[in-house]
Amino acid sequence: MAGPGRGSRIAVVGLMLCLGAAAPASAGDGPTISGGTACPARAGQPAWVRQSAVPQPGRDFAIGAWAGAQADLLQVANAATPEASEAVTADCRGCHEGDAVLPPDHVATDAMGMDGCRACHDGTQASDLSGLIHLDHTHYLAGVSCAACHGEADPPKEPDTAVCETCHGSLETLARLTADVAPVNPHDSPHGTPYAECSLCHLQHRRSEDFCATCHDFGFDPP
Amino acid sequence: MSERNQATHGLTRRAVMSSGLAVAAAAPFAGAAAAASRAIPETWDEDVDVVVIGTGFAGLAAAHEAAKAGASVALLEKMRVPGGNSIISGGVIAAPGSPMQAERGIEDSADALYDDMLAAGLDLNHRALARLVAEKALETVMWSIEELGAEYDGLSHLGGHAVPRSYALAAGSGAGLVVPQLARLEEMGIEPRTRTLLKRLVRDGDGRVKGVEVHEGFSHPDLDSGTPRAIRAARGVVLATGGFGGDPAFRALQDPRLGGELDTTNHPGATSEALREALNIGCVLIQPSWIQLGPWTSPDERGFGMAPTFVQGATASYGLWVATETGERFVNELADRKTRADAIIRTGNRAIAFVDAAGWRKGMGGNAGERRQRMKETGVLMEYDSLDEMAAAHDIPAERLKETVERFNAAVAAGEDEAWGRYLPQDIAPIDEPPFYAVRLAPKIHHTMGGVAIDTEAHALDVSTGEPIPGLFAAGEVTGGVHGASRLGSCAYADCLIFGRIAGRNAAAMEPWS
Repeated sequence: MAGPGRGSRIAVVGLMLCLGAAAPASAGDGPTISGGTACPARAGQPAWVRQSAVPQPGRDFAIGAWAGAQADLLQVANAATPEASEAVTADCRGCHEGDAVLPPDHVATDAMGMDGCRACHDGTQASDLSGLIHLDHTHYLAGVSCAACHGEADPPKEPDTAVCETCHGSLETLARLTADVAPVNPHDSPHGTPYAECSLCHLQHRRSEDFCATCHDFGFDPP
Repeated sequence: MSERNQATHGLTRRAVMSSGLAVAAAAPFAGAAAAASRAIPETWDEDVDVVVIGTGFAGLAAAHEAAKAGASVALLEKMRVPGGNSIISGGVIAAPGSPMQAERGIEDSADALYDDMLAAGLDLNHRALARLVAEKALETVMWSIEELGAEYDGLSHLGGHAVPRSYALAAGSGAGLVVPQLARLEEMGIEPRTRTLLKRLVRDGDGRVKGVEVHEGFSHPDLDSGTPRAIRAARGVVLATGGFGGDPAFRALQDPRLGGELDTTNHPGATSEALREALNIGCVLIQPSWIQLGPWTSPDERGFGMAPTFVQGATASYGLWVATETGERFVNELADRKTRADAIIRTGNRAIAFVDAAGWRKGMGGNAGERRQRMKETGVLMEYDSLDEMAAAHDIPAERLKETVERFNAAVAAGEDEAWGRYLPQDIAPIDEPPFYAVRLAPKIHHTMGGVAIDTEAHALDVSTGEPIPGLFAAGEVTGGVHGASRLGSCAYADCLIFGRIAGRNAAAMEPWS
C-alpha cells in the first residue's frame, strides 16, 4: 500500500487540518473565528442573518442555561434558539449533568472558553478530544449561536456552505491555506462544487467524517 | 385514457385496487403490470409532470430536456451529493469526425466508431441503440459546448478506438459536465433533491407508471432510513439510477467471480436496488453478466484513483505494459478494456505499465509535475533512474525487459508495431530517456453493461409484452444493450447524454394521466 511513514503523515495531516480550521486568519486574508473580531457572527450582525433571520434582543444565552437538557443542540435550538453574540463559557456539567462526559476529578469548566478546553485537548496529546467535542461546541463557545448558522427555520435545515464562508472565508481562501497538506489538498477536490460542501466532512452535531474516504485513502481526520 | 379507466375514475384508489386482479386481467396492454402492480398511494404528497431518478449525466440531461419542454420536474438523488459515477469519472467523450480530429489530420466517422463499439462488444450490442450513440455522439459533444458551456482541452486515444477521437474535459473529470448541467438546471429552477431514495415505481393496473414512492432524508446505505413520500408523475418517470458496480452481492449473482472484496472504481451508491425495483414492475433485465473491469487501475490505491490517467494517457500510447514474470509485453496496450483486463488477470495481476520521461511529458500534459508528486506521495507511482533499477524493484528479468524495450523502439523506428498492432501516434519516440515511471496494474470493477431493455426512444420495455411500459423511460448505465459485452472508453458519456435527453423529451411529451 502506501509504504512506510504513512501513519505519521496522517497524524500530521490531522494536526494541520485542526490548525487550519482553528486559525484561518493566519494568512491575513480572511475573517477569523479565533481571537480576532472580524467574524460577523461574533459581532452579532452577520450579513446573512440580516437577510434571512432577525436576531432577537434580550435572548442572550449562556451555555449553562441548558442545565438539565438531555437533548442535542438542535432540539434545544428548536425550543429556544440562543443568540450568543459574545464568547460564552463551558460549564460542561451544565448540559451534561447526568452524563459521564467529564471524569469526576476533571477541573472546573464553569469559566472556560474553548481556549481553556484546548489547553489540554489540543489535538496533540493523549487527552485530545478534538473529534469528541463536536464542532457545535467549538462554534457555540466562540459565541456563534444556533441561529447564526440555522436562522429561524423550524425545523432547522443544514446550512449552505455560503453560511460557513461568512466566517471562515471563501473556499478558495481555505484551499490556499491547505495547499500543502499531503497527499492532496482537502479543499481543492477535482470533482467540482458538489464535492466542495463544508458539511460533507465538517459535521457539527456528531463526529466529523472524511468524506473523501468513500473512495480514497487520504487518511484525513477533519476537525 | 381508456373507457375502463374513465369508469373507475372517481372511485377511491383502494376501491379500484381491491379489485386489482380483475382490473389488471381485463386491461389488454397491461403487460407485466398484471402481475406486478401494487396499490397506488391513497394520496400523493406532490404532483409533478416528470420525475427523474438519478443525477448522473443521464438524469441531468433528462431533467434538462424535460424542463426545456415546459414540464415541471422532480430530480431525485439518493446520495448526499449529486453526480453519481459521472462526476468522478475520467472526463472523456467520444466525438467521431470532430474539429479537433480535423486539426490533426485524423480521419474518422460515426461508422468507424460503430464498428469499434461492436468489435469491443463482441457483436452483442443491440445494434439500433449502438448505431444511435455512434451517430449522435459528435452533435452531443457540440451541444455540450454550445448549450452547457462545457470546455474541452484535449483529444485522447482510448483503448479499442481505431483513432484518437475522445474529447477530454478541461476540468479533468466528469465534473466538467455535471457542474454546468447543474448550473443550467438551477437557472430553470431545478435543484437535485439529495438523500432521496427511490423505494417503489408505482405501476398501475392499466400498465402505466404513474409516480414514485421515495424516502426523503435517506442515509446511505440503510434502505429503511428516511421518511416516505409519494410523488405523482403526471407525464412520466425517467430511471437514470446508474449501474451496480458497487454492489458486490448483485454483481456476484450475475458473475460469481466478481463478488466479494474486489475493488471498484464506482462511488458507493452504485448499487442495484433501483434496478431491482424496475424488475419488480416488469422491466426486462438484459446482459447483466457482462461486467467490465477497468484495466488501468492500481492495487496501490483505492478505487479509480490517480493511476488511470497515467496508465491510459501516457503508458498506453508512449510506454509499455509488461508482465513482471517474463519482462515481455502481453497485450496491445491500446486494446479494448476487456481484452486488456483479461490479459492482466492472466498474468496473475503481476504486470506494470511504464513510460520514460519523454512519454510522461507527452501523455500527462498540463500540471504534470504536481500530479507526479501526488502520485508518488500516495505510493501509486514509482520512479526509477534506469530500466535495471525498475527491473530489480519489480522482480523482472532485467535483460528480457531491456530486450522488450529495444524491440519496441525498433518498431517505433519502423513506424509499425508488428508484435501487437498497436496504434503509434505521430509524436511517439523511442523509450530511452530516464527517469522511468511505473504503476502496478490490477483491474477493478468499472461498468455494468447489462440493465433494463430500452428501445431507441428510451422507453423501458415490458418483460411480458416486449412493448414500451407507458410512462417509464430509462437512460444511462441502468440500461443494457448499447455496449454489448464491453463498453469502449468515453462511450458512456455519449450513451448517457443521448438517451438521457431522449428520455427527458419523451417523458415531457406524454399525455398526462388523470
